[in-house]
Amino acid sequence: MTAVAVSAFTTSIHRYGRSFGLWLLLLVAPIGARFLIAGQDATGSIISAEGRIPVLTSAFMGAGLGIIITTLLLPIAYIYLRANVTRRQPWQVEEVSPASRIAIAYGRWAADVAALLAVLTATTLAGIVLAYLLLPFSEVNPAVIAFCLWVIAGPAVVLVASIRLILESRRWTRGWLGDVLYFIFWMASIIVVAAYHSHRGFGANMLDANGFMAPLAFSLDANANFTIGGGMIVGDGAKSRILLDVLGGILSDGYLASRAVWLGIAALIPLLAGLVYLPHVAGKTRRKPVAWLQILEPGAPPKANPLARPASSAALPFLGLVLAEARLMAGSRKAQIAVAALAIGGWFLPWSTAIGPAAMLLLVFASTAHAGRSEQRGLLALTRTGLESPMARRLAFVFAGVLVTLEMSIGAIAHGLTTGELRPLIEACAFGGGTALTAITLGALTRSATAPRLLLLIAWYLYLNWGSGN
Amino acid sequence: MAQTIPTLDLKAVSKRYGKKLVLDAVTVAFQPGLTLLTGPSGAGKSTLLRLCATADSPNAGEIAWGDQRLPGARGKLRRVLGYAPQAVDLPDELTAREFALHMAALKGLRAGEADKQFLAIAEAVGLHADVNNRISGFSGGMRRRLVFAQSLLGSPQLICLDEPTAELDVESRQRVGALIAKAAQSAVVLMTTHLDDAVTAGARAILRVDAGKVVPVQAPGQ
Repeated sequence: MTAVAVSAFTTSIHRYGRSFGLWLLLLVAPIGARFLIAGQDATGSIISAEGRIPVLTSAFMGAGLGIIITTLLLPIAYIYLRANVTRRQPWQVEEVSPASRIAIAYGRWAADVAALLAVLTATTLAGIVLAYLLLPFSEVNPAVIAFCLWVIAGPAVVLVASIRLILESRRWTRGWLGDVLYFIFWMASIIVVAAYHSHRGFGANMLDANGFMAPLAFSLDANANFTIGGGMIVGDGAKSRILLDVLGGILSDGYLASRAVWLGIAALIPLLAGLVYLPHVAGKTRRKPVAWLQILEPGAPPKANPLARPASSAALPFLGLVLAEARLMAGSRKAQIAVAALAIGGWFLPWSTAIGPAAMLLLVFASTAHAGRSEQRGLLALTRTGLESPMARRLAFVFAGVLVTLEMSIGAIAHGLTTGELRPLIEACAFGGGTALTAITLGALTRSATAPRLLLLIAWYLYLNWGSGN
Repeated sequence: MAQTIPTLDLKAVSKRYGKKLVLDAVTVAFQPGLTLLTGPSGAGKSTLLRLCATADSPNAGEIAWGDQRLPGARGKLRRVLGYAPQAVDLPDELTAREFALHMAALKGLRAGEADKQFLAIAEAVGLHADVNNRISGFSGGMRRRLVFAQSLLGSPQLICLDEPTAELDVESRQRVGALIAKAAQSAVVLMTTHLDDAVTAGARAILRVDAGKVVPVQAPGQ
């Protein structure tokens, strides 16, 4: 069992080490750290409390970086793990080996953890260097910076590696559903903490898997407001500072114990992942659908004509490509039914709270799935031999995204035009193009649907809330 | 002392994918030696092989390795199994040798011995010069030979090969064929093929899979 775990670990580490992605992350993390921390004379900050910028100390340098990692940057860690080189495993031969799935799970988990902790190490070193640049020399305490950063962010990133593993242990969660579940977990982990931020003690800290609340809120009133992400404009108090006792929060009752328990939970998840692991399915094992669901099936093909003439060249090949991309994006019977329902519903239902978010959500799933598929190396080798270049095909993909969105929004657009309302038309074009552009760009960069899907789900959530407020 | 190789027995095994019945109450006993599975594309050869290799489970019927029935004996069978499917998501970033050693670890083999055995197999299939190269630079044929090579690691008693000679040139087919013939002397070897002369000569049985049924075809020399 140990040999299996060691082998799974070393092979994964080799793959990480030889991939471009890890070195990019190790480079980007320290550079990014500079933009996450506000200097002494800054007028804005990623983190603010009571409309003021926290005083920069060694403790806040570490805690600030830790808080930003565990709130804003965790999805990037998840995307990295799900879309990186180790997403493809030789399961066809692994799953018929006598090796323990638990041992394989622990080996891979350890490699994922090592990769993420390497990024954390790079960020810590960057934080220490930044502290020497931004603080008086005598106030820099590297140990405190590292301690604060690792206590907050360490268990959180280890938990991401565990979640990746458990999601990949079951068939349904290996694909888009896993990404959606992670998105829900991430959002919920922030929302729940925000709701209970006035509570103290071990129980309250256990609600905070990301561990960012106690260090941030410890020295504030129960009703204090704070912002992570720079969404709130730092107003009159821009030049004034607030001293946050983040070290006090970290050493407060129950915080360290809760971080240790979360670390323990994260370390146990690979065991669960190994126990519940379900092998892949080589062929389709769908059961025969019930009669009324037959409408969702593709149906019988049209009758073949043996005397059919060879296809001639299209008059407008690029237009044909756009239509082909649109068909691949949303051409299935299920997608067509959904598109038709949204198109009709748009006449009757409100755009901003119903049709707009629903159309965007459908486009997120349809476009990212197609982007992930169409950017696979093997397929690219084939498609680049076509009349249109790969870049032209990607451009057609973006137009197809707009086309599908307009199709879904046609009812709302028509209804809007009768009342002089242009918002559905403008938004359909904007987020259709934006979503498709994001999907194909990230799909091409990562050769996976995970990165664009998760980022677009976050964008969709923001759009949903923005739509509700307008 | 020579080891007794059990037979792999399938009794009334059926497999269905959605509406399609791929295998229909197949009963067959695979004896030690090379058995070829032929038939048209999509006839169910790979499905039959997957069931034998414990990569999938039948909807009905029974599979037994000697006197031990699956799925209860699956773990035991996997200890003596070598499997080379048609398509494997090979880890491009690893070298062929690293991948083979990882597979050896999963099979519970000693690393040092597995390394030596792999080098010998790689030499035999004409892959030796590339074992320390990354898989990303491998051609289709080299990938196929690598997957085949890992299936022979250890002392497998049941070897399931899904078209191992596809995409190979004549010389490579002969090399692989020679190894299969050697392995078949001490194992039950099942191989799907479109009747490749390089390997059919040593077959003890040829079965045709078609329309869900498995029927014997006269073996060469019989």
